[in-house]
Amino acid sequence: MAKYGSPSFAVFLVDGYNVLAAKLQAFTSKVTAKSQTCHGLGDTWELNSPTGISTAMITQSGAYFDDASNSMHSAFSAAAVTSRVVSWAPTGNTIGKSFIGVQGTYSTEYDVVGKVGGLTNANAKYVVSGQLDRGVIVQSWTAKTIDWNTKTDGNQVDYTLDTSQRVIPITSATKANPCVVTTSVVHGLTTGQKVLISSNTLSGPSINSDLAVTVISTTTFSVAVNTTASTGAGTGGTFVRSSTVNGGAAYQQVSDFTGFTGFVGKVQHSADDITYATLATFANVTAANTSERVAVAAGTTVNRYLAFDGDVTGSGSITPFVGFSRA
Amino acid sequence: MSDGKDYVATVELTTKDRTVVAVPGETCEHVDPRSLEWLEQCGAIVRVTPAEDAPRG
Repeated sequence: MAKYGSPSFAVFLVDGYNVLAAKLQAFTSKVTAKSQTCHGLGDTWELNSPTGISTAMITQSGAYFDDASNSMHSAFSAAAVTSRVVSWAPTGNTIGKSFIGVQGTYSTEYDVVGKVGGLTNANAKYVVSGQLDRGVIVQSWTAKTIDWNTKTDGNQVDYTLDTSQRVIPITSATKANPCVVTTSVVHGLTTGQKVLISSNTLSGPSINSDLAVTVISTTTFSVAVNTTASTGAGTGGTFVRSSTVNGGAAYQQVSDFTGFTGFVGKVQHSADDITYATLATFANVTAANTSERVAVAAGTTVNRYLAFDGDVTGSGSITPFVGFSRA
Repeated sequence: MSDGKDYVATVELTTKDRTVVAVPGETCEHVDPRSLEWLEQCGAIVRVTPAEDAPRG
């Protein structure tokens, strides 16, 4: 398993501001499932019942903020009612690597420790109103000067290669029409979702491909392949999901913006890596230090490949960072 | 065999080289026929003429 240290923590953006540049010394994020006490008179032990509600909290400490006007210090020390968008990349600034984003982040503490020259040393704590989204980087935090698309550059993100996915073992696959697949653990699939099956022993025809499933039970599903005439025992193999069916969220942060008069970013998806459909479109950006979260509605299919399209107006330079989280 | 002319795009569709092959409301004759099935399944295109195997009357 890959291990990531301090140098891997390559991106930490709050409302388009680069907090890493401020020599951040420590950072924590914590998700807590809330419960409520439900004991009464006569009970001898405290009883708790889950509420189904989770809260997220992030803290940063030891950063030196520039205290010039309109700088990070003035932005972060603003009233606590300001909702912020926060994105970070703990495993490197590379397309396809892990990304985490939160929106509705309210600072509850901004603690000035001291001042050195024109810099303010401060700690901050944020409580998140809403959910914390985990996903992948679809556009790394890199300066751009012309229109671009990550798929054109060969940097589309393939969901089947996502190492955070569970690899589900297959117990058996029937010689039938349709073929019924049994798994040794709960598969967690939804009818209509697609899976990439590999290493199953059926052949002629095989089921080792990217297929839509029809769920039969928590450990069985069928795929639209007629395996009546197949050879092989139909045992073994694994699958990973190649699409999700419950929408998600796209995050964009723009830390630098000079020269251009506009910038529109779009997250696109594809099932076949041939044609791409727009999944989420961000608002036109005209200045630096902007951020946005675009929700993709629950029930929306998000296909196997993700790409980012950047469309600039005029000439100049822009440094965006974009992540997408599948729900 | 489905034809792109039978479908209208609901979102912008592009190729890998950034060529826009359909914008929302436009028919899909420039879309690669191999992509029509999944595009319809996820709602990125909608059929505007009945399928040949659809019941008549």
